[in-house]
Amino acid sequence: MEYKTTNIKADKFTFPVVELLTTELESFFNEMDIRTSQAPAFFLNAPLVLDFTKLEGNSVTFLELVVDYLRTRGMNPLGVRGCPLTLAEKVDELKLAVLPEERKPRKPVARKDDSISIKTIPSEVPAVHNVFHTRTVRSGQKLTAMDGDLTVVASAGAGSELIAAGNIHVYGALRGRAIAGVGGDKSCRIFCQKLDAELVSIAGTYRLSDDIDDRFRRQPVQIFLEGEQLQVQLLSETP
Amino acid sequence: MGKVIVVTSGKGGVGKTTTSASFATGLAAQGHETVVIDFDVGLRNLDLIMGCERRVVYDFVNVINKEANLNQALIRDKRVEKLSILPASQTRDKEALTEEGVSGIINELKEKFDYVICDSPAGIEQGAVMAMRFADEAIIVTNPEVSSVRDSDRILGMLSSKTVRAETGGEPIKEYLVITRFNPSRADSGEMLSIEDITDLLAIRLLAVIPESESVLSASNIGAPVIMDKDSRAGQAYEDCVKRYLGEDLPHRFLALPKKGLIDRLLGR
Repeated sequence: MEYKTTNIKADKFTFPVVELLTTELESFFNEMDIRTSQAPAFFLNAPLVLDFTKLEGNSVTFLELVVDYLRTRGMNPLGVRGCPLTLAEKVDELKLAVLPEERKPRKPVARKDDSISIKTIPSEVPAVHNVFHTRTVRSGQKLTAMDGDLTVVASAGAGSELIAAGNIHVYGALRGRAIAGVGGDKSCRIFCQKLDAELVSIAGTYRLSDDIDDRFRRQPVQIFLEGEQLQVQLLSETP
Repeated sequence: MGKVIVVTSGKGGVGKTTTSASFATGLAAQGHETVVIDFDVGLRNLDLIMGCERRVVYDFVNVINKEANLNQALIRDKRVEKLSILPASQTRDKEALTEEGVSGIINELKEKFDYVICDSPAGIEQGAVMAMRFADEAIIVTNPEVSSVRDSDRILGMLSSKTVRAETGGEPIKEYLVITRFNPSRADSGEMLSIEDITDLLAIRLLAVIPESESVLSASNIGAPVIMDKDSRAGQAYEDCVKRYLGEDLPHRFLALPKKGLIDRLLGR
């Protein structure tokens, strides 16, 4: 069926993670007070993740008091990670989400004078990752750049496939298929030195070799979307 | 340590075995210890072209299965001193070529020979993959025809992904192009692709252009690689091919139509 009221999709966010390093509540509260006073705007209504991975020995009460403290100070603990199973029921009761463990192994030693460390998780930032290729792309080969642009400083043979979330640049002959903007980005373009493609596509709108005007054949061109129409333009004719 | 060179094409019938036989014979004649291996298990042909079919006792698969050792299976050529042949099995299929077995044999051959020429079967399956798997260099055999060129392009893609060199991130395989069955008059009239079209499409170094010639067929039938036929144009082109590979700077011959002499004209030939 067709959904009209909502779109549900996956997305990435960056949250501060509060790594708990001690179960001594008193020192935790004191240090947290100092930190929040240093950057009140950062912590106000801030969504936080509580990390239990480095904590030894903890209790249900401890979790409850920490969450209570953070909420009364205007912060918004959303979830936990590295939480022992004994706390599962409490986590549920406090309406916290259980988040997966950090992917990268990390150094186990923490600074002694710090009972809490706050950091952002860099891996959560959606990264642009461009792909660069310098050898001829052969028939049957497929190159993909799912988080950025794809640049080929050579030719792409008939029967090859270039696929990118962003733009596609071919500094040689493009004889295979070029599929740009696979994530739906309609502003993506395809550039090549010599157009002889079997198929070109931007954000799902495609054109076959047969439907490309002969005057563009083997010419340096750019291809882009104008409305719902794919446009081919000689690079020499760009304004 | 010897060099491993695969002779491959993707498409069948383009002249891989003819090229392997002549290239190996040429290298040996130039004084290099050379062995040529037939990877076309089940469709054994190389021994016929090399004229040693009556001397095959053990084959490649026997050695892989440790039913014979390499020395028992290798056939020394009677005409060219430094040339040996490792024939394929006619009764097995390509699945008999295990990675471990092929690797062991190639390593052993590399110790003894300067050049190990692997005559690949057509296609892109097990046999062809095993023939290219351990290659240091590749000779791509292509006919001046679009489907052959596209298949060669596909094989070039596999060379840069399915070989040990590619997988271990070693130096890329050196690739050479040999165009066979070239007919200048048909290329001029547009019935065949031109040399420029092919080199533009494949973008690898052109090693040789072998003209279409009756002598290739007759050479196969008498079991003597065409390079031994010094009078034939194809034989001379292969001779140039070997010398060019070994570093000589020779111009490409037989690319244009031979000029008709007065007698030919008078006789209407």
